[in-house]
Amino acid sequence: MATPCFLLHTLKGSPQNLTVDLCRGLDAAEAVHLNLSDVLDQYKALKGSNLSLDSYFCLSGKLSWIGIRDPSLYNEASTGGCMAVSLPGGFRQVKAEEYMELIDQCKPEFFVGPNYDLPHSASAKRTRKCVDSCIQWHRDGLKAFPSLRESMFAAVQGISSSRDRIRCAREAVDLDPFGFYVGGQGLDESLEQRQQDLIELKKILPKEKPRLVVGIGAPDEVLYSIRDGIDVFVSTYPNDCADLGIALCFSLVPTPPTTDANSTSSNTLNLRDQEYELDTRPLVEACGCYTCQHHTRAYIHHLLNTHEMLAGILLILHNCRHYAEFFRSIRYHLDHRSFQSFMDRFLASYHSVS
Amino acid sequence: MTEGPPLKYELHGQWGKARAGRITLPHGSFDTPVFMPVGTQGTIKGLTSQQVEELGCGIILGNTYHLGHRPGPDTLKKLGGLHKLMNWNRNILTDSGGFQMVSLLKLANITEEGVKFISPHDGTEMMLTPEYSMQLQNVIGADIMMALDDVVSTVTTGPRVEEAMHRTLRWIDRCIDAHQRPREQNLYAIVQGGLDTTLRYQCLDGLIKRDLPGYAIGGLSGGESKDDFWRVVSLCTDRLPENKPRYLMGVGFPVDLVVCVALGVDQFDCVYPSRTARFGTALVRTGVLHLKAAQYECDYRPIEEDCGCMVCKNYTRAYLHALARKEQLGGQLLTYHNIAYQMRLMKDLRNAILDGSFPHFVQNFMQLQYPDGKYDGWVVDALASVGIHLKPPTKKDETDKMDE
Repeated sequence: MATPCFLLHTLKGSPQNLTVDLCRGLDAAEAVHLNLSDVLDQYKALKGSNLSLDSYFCLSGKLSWIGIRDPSLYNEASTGGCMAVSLPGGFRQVKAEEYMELIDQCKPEFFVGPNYDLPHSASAKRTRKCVDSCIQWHRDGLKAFPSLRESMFAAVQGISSSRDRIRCAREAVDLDPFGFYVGGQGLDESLEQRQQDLIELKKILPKEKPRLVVGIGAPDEVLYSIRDGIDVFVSTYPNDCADLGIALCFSLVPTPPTTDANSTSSNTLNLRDQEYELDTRPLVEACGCYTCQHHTRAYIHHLLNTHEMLAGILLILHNCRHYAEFFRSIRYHLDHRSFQSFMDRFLASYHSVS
Repeated sequence: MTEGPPLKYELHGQWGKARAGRITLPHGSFDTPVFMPVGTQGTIKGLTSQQVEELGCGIILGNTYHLGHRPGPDTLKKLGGLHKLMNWNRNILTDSGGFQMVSLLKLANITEEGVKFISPHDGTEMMLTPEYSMQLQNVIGADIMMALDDVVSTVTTGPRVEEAMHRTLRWIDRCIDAHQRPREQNLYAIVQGGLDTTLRYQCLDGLIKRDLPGYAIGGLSGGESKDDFWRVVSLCTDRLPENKPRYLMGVGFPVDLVVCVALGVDQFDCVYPSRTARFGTALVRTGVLHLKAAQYECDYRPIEEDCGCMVCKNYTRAYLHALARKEQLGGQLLTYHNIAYQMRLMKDLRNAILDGSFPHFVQNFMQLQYPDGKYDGWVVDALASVGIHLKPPTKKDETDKMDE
């Protein structure tokens, strides 16, 4: 899995609206994020099947990552004793040992260590308790299942208190996991607070191990976070846009913004808009996704107008592809040491039309 | 290119009244008997055009009433028709718009001129005439168009039924006159006449005289008893010309499909497989699986072992159970399977007609659908009328518990 990258968001274990044949066509995205709540809800069936996650959920060979925090909703129901996981019948209190046992059974390629998130605004007392739990659960968890260390992204919590943050980070580093989950972000912190946090963590977390974040997905925020040391993103950004009838089209080869009032560049297309009624162009010229290869803006506009399911399917196919291409551009520029200038040009163009 | 409408029907084989054939239309050929999935508003709900192609569908339905509203005739004209809008390069059949009028609208008032109704979209009074229906369908550009008929519910009795039959004959002439693209689009007539044999014969003779490229049997599957239903289908297929396709509108359930193929029908459409999928129901040879039910939570078999569709090759019933209860993806997957099921059923019927095993196939099919041997009376009668006799259950059938 090349980084920086994003993980496909799943519902009940499958990439949203994507049947396995459609999923296969999305080869630009290599990995999926499975919600603990979805895995837990189907745990009995999953265990009894003796199938791998890939076979059971029909992930068409994509790598799977089990995460505790659902990127589409954040709940503060966890306390120091357990992780509160949202199931159809209500919250279930999941102990750390139970969680590690589930991971051991399911064998995802990667997973986050047992933890729960608190935002930047959380009180000092709650934050300290959260970090204490995080550290204890990780220690106990790896004692019981030492081999899981190699696929674990150890969680770092305590975002609201520098001392607890550092303490948690140091503990996580000592465990020698595969990577790190930078917890507590993508909630109520400001961009400045987020950057400050990452600068602090950069001093502690080893450079060669990947860092993952949840809840950050907009292209500009992704760039800032990559600049500050994040490698893997879990968010619902392309999906949320699709749900709203919006196609991503920000330029991946950004040119300097023009002052030309007739400039037609934009970051997104709101396909419910009447202006697309007769527009027979694809969403994005030269985009290799199924939607752009086969269909027009006019058709998607019609599907949205008539509340047809296919609209969402076609938009997700496009948005995930476009988003994946965005990350591919980032990787290219990082490899060619042109990331800073790419970021500057991209943000200038992106913000000029927002 | 020969003169005449752009439809070729080839009869490849028969068993009794059942026919196996091939229809060639401007957007390609497909075998018959054929099931035509319904893509009401320019999409088969939840499937991409490529998936519909992969399922082997050679023709789908579009709905004139809905498409006439959205995107509407002006937009469709500018975009070059429904094929272009959808990027569906195989065949399309559109209905006349009449059925929705009568079934959806509270204030539909049928006169000689046409169907007068209050548009539910903006409250204005509108008129669907044979001419306007042809105009809309010409713009949509389907390969088969349906004539506007005076549809009467089968539970209606009395002079209204006769009035509707005669009006249907007058309207077919207006449809033929108004049809602007007879070399590119085929106009099918619809046989009416309720449950009255005489009226049906009159209508049949009148329509056959007009020499349309194909005929639909209309006015059924709306509340009549199954006994009446099959008899009307049968008398129509007896009378309709052999060298033209027969289309039974709105049918349907797998048992009905099998019986009506035996009675001589070539084309079918129904929302049932796609609609029932969205409620979590999968079609199987023994009937249906209500996948939301708890019994499937740990059932790791595919929906059907020998189905071979993308869903059955990849997904377990257990996972479909979880998806069916909550996620749109469940509906998509079950729709895919259910259409695959219908396509495979049609193919099996066709092969059985061609290799002579048709009665055997029908008998086995019915045994699977009615494992206790308690066949519905109408099914027994209808099949007996074409020389297929259903077996009573053997001792083996009684003790052989199907664990579906």
